[in-house]
Amino acid sequence: MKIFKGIFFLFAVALVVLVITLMRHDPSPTLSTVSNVHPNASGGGDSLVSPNAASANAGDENSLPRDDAQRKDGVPAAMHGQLEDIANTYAQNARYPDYAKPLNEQDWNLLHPRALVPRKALLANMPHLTATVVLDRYIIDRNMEQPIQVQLDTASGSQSTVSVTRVNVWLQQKGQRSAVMILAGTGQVFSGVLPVSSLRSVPEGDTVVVAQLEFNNGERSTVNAMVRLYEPEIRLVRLGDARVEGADLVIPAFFEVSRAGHYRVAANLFSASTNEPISHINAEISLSPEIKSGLLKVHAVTLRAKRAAGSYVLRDFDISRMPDSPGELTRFGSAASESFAVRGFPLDSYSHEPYQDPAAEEKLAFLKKLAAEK
Amino acid sequence: MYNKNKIYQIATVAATLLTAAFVPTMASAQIAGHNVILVHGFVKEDLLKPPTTAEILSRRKMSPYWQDRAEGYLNWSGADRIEGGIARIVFEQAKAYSAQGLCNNGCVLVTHSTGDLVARYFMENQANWMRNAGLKPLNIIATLDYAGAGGGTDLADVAVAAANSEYVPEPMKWAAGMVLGLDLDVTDYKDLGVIIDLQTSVSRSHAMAPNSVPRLRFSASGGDLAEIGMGQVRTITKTIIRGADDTVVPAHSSCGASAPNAIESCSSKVTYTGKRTAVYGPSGLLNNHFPVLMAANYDHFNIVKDEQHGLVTYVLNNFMSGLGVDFQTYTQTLTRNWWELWKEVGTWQYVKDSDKKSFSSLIYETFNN
Repeated sequence: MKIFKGIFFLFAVALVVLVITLMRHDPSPTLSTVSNVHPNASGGGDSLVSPNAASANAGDENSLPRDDAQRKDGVPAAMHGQLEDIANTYAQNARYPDYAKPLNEQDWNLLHPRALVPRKALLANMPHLTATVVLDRYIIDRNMEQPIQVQLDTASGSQSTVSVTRVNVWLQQKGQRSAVMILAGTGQVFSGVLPVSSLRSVPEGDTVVVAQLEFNNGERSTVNAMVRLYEPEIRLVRLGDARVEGADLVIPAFFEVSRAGHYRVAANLFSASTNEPISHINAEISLSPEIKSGLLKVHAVTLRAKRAAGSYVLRDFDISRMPDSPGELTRFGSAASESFAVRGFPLDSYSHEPYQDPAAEEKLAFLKKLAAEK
Repeated sequence: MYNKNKIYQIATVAATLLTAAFVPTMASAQIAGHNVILVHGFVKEDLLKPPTTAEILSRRKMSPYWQDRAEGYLNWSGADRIEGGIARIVFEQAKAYSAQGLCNNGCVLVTHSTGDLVARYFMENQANWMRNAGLKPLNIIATLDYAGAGGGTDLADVAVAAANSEYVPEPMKWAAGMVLGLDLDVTDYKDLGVIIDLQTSVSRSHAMAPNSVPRLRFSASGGDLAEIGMGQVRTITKTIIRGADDTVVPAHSSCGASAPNAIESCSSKVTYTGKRTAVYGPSGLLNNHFPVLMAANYDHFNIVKDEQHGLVTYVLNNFMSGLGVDFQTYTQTLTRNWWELWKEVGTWQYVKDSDKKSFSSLIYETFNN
């Protein structure tokens, strides 16, 4: 036993000596081969070392690879390479008009217009629990009932036997409150709808949705979410027959308009057969009670990029009246239907001229200038 | 009496605007030959004592480094809302610049924090407003966005929730209040000014239409947690904000991610420390938003100052605007000997000279050299 203890002691001493020796050794990291992969940049790589070693060597020119030490007054080559990639990507994106950009699965913001981003709320008096108010929208038409859920999560390992027995919901704004609604459910999820009568019982604008939780021990908590209620100033009633005009797919849109103004009509175009996203449409149209129609357009460059001849479905409408002057609030509109069918045409029906955005050219020149090696 | 006050107020605004428009600025620097306009971030004192119009117009809140390189300012008050007083006062300043022709050759906006959202809302609407005012819109050719809050922050979510509920845990309320300059025990949500606009859902509903202005994003994930007082605040705010953050703004916002997810980097291939490895990054970006640089040791406030706080890395992405472009970079690899068990191995990428220069000077000098 003593022999083992002695061996262990010697081993420990040796290990400590080894560690001290290594700690006193030159702290520069061992750098293996440099992989200089950017095709357009010239010169050596940047100073790439471990974070700790680099901090320790800050300001020490000898710690830089030779090429960088020689080029220390120059500009970072890799950053220029990156800026060149940004310029190229910008140029690629500028091939598509703002009125119809290609739409992809990862374009969350475009696929979820007006979204309410749910927040898991910790509760001061129930530390084992979080509650989340879930609504489909942050911007809500007061004339359409809204589904609502309150989701509860219990902290893992919690031994608490306290549970929610009832969830009451109401709307609150500027001292006004709607009637209380009781959500149905047990356990982790309580659901219901905010009826039109409640949505219309408070004014338009920022409104707090309050959910009051009642527990089986007699305690209460509240969680809330802010929404923006609106009375529609415009309503998309129907779409006309789509047609080809030059390089554009043109879709006539017809509205009921209560107030003249400059409107933005955004919507997403999907393939009717595969449901693949194709284009985010974004039209600016001047409308009034007298001028009630406008055109939505999709450029063929977008349709060809997505290889989508149609037919299509248009949905996810986000219609707003842009402020005429600063300080005026954005107003909102709705669509009569969740989706509309749009006829497609063979891709060779469209002319082949590329889309050109003169506004993008100067910006691209700026990005190229940033990227240029001087 | 009312009229006298009103006349005095109008005269003050007019005088300040005239001064801003016609007195030559001290700065003469540009970015790649284009004039620079600064849009500052949230000023927390604004909520406690809303500034006068004259105070707003004369304020210089961005770092002296950028002030020395700017020809104009779009100032605003945090006591106002994006669609209200902020839009009005920003437009008043922009009108003066339009009349002056400051941006005829193209301007670059340099924004910090909430300035990102202020600029986005202004850019979406200014053409319409300028036309209605008989003026030429400012020709903005790019923005440089430091710690951009245009995607919202969980701190604002907590602040608004706390103003409406007594059940928000006290430490969260305290920390959010400290950062935003609020006593959330006594504040009514209507007094929260631009904080309401900084809620994640609200900010992401303002002015999101695609446009052609490239937005170059600079993001940080640091924050000194050991500093007495604010260190404790930051420790809590970092637990409130989902994903990586700079103590105030989450990465999904500063990177320009399309989804408000709890991402840990602006790229799925490189961390804030510069290590090339798989990391939870954005699956998509907002239109024409380009994360350029990240830093693990800068925070929300010092990222825009002329202070050096460690190394800066460049973002490595294989997508931009959904178009599938590879960001290729230079790399070097750190290996270890078999006995160096404690040493972290891997491949890191850094911007040259970021160990000597501040984040701001690194960008400015790179763009101007």
